[in-house]
Amino acid sequence: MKISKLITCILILSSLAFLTSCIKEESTTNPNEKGSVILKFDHKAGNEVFAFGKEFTNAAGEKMKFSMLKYYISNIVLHQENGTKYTVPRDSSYFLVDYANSVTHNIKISNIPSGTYTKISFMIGVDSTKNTEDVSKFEGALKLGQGMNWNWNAGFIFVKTEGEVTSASVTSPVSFKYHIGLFGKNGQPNNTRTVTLASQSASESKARVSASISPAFHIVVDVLGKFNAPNIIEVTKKPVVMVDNASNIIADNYAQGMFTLDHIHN
Amino acid sequence: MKFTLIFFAILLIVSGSMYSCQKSDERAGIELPAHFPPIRQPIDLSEITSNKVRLGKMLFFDPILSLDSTIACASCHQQEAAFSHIDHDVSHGIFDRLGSRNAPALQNLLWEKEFFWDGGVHHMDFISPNPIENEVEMGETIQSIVRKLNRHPRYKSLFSEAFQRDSIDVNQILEVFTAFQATLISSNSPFDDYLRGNTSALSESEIQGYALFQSKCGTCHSGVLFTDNSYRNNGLTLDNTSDVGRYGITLKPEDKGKFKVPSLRNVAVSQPYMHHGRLSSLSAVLEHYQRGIKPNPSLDNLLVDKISMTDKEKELIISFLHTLTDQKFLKNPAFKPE
Repeated sequence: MKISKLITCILILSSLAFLTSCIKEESTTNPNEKGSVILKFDHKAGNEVFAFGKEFTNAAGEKMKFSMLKYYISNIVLHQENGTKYTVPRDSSYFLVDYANSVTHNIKISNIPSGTYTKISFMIGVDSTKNTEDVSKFEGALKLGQGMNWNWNAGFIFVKTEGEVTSASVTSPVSFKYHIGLFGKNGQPNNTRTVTLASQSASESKARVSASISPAFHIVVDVLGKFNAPNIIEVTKKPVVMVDNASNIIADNYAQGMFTLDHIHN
Repeated sequence: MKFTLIFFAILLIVSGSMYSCQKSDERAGIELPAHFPPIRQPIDLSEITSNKVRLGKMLFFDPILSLDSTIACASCHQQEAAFSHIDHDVSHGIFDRLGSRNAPALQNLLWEKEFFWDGGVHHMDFISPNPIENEVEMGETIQSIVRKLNRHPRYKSLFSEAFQRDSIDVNQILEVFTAFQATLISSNSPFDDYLRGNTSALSESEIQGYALFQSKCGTCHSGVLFTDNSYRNNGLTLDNTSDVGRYGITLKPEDKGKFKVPSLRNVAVSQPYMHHGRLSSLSAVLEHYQRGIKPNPSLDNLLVDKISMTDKEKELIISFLHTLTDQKFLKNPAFKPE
């Protein structure tokens, strides 16, 4: 009996030792209240509601129909009214928005310290550090095989659009492919862009994050912005842009012409 | 009774936690040659287990990776040619589609900075999707390979043994290719013996050839791996339009027609040569550097005046290049299919 008790004790102790060695350290419970926010991406083309197959006129006067729209949002930072910032942890800060999959249009971010947030910033694309990590770090939205990376010039595609285009002079539809990526390796263009957005609506400009309220940031994505502003792109003249020096001005477009924070909802 | 139950419960917990903690199998124990520089790839060799190496090797020889199950990695990367493609200027993939560049040797990849003739891939993990998804090579998609392997009972059980996961994913596949390719180390040629101190490993004329090689070729083909890891235009064409090379990656005009300076290990068995595979012998290569260099806008400065060599010197250089042939590597049973 005595011996078996001893064995039991040893087993309990060793199992505890094994368990503790396996379990990741629990973060010490923060006394501060935590909440979450939702980023909602609403897709438009100019003032019209965006849809695949629907015809839109870009700034160059061309008629565009889309069949593909995907982009990466990463490195999200939320800014409080008082200047403090909350940076979403790196391992959970990469999201792929795929127009074809409406679930991806809403991004939920949890574990945010409660407070009043007025701005959000994020990167369009995938940063160079992540781009050069090994494959074991490519989980979730970054998993290969989603059509968002190049093999031969290894790296992620940041904003991918495809479809058909016509113009006054090019009347039969030309298929276009604008796959914009490149993170600056080997002196290539760096097409990652970081945007900081504040609410356009004076009355709905603050997100009050608390345990009981999960505010929503309504972000309007103007798909034509990629082709319109500030650089007017004539898509029929250059229907394919991928690994190309011309990608740089398109990146300026998606940084400046595509994303606006329409309002914040509490 | 109660006591026995508690005892078993504890036993279960203990064995369960042991199981989850345990490394899935033994390490492959990759040995780095003492006379080589530090590896350049950011790879944790302790993560490479023999199970992963074995899986990588199985896949390397398995045409399951190609669309119509006709082409394996090994179809164009043959061990006896240092895993290049014997006598093929370019290789043929599915449906006899032809590639546009010579299949490079696969050896000492841990020491490379970048991969492929244009250096478009910076990490070993991302080599394998290139041939798999290239439409003139294997013509498959990584997603489809994941599905095929998950339906394959043997791969399924071997992967789950190697990774302790229920299903195979793309990351595991890429990882086992890295594991196998990391083991492809060639460091046992007569020249290596010579470097290790066996002065009789090279003949008198081979030693003379080595000295000549160093003065004529050694700036670019430098160090014990015989490459400075740079990209250079060696004057194969007049206008660089047939293949823009490194320019396709960097988008810098001065990089047009530049290609990676390859290692020369096992060079005597990995003919034909150059990115287009159009020079069929070592003497044709030296002939090119002696007389054949074509002036073009991005021609390397070192080659503007060509390389002057006598016939006797060329012969000696070639005799030295043969000392880089590593029979142990070319015949290593560990690299053969099971």
